[in-house]
Amino acid sequence: MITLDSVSKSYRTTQGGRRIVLDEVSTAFPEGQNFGVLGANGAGKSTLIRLLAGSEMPDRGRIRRDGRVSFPLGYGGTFHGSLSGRENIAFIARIYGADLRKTIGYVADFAELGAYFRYYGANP
Amino acid sequence: MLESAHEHRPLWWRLLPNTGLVPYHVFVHTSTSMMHGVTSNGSLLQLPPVKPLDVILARGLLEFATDLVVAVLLLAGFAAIGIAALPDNLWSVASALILTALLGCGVGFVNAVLQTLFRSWDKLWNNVTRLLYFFSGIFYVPGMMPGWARDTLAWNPLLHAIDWFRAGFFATYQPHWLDRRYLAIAAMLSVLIGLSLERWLRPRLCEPA
Repeated sequence: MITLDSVSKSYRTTQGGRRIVLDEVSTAFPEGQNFGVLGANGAGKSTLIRLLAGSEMPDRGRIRRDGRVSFPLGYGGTFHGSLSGRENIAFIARIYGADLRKTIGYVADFAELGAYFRYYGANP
Repeated sequence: MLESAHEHRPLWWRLLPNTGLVPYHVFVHTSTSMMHGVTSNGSLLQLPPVKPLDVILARGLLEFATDLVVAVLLLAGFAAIGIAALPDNLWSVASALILTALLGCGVGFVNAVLQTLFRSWDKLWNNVTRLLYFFSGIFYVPGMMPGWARDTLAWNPLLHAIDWFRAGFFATYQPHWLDRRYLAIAAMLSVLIGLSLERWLRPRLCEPA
């Protein structure tokens, strides 16, 4: 369950003004349900996701998360290019306080990368 | 001040730049590397458990640790070619270096915030460090300067860092203008200002570039 309690978020635009993305929004995302976020370009879909994850801070208001919430997936760039797949997993497991051995074993198993899991890539 | 160390002169002239460069590098490397802590770690900051404070501080610690290793290797190199290069007062040298690192980290936090707000800040800061290279008494001793010049340069906390380090290195070198408390206050103030700025502008530092 993620609860938003009168959350406001705005951005400074390059023109010098402010773009309001969320204005005193109070809502809740209960567990066990899937939600889709629809909006025009620049409406603040990504910002909402980043706020929910905790990657970004609201200007005002509170966001409460029960349980563990993932960082925003699908943006790419979260993994470090000069680390192997295994090292990237180890890093993320460590900062989330997850069991290192178990997480690496789990990912190695479903990713089915074989030896490439420890591979550094052609262009380090 | 120099006269009293005449018997050490050959040693002096070999070690003088080194004793100045070690604290200078500790300050410049920490403050400059921390400057890019937020702007070049956008992808790392996507991870909610990783906060701007972590990435900035990690850079400072890494630079300080690297410079310590380099300093030890340099001194070992001097010892290897037969120049006794052990400091006379290890405690004094260590406290000077720790306060220099603290000053560097405080300024580093300020730099990291300024760099996020103004993308050209690093160009300006690089020129500041270049000026500090000449105004911190690395290749000269402030005692060689006319009084008014020395009194002006003494406003630079890095000059005190370097002279404190030097005074720990050579027991014969005890400059009267050296104010250890001034460096300590400057270091603590810089940390206070840097951390306050980081806390105040943290929402801004978390925003994607």
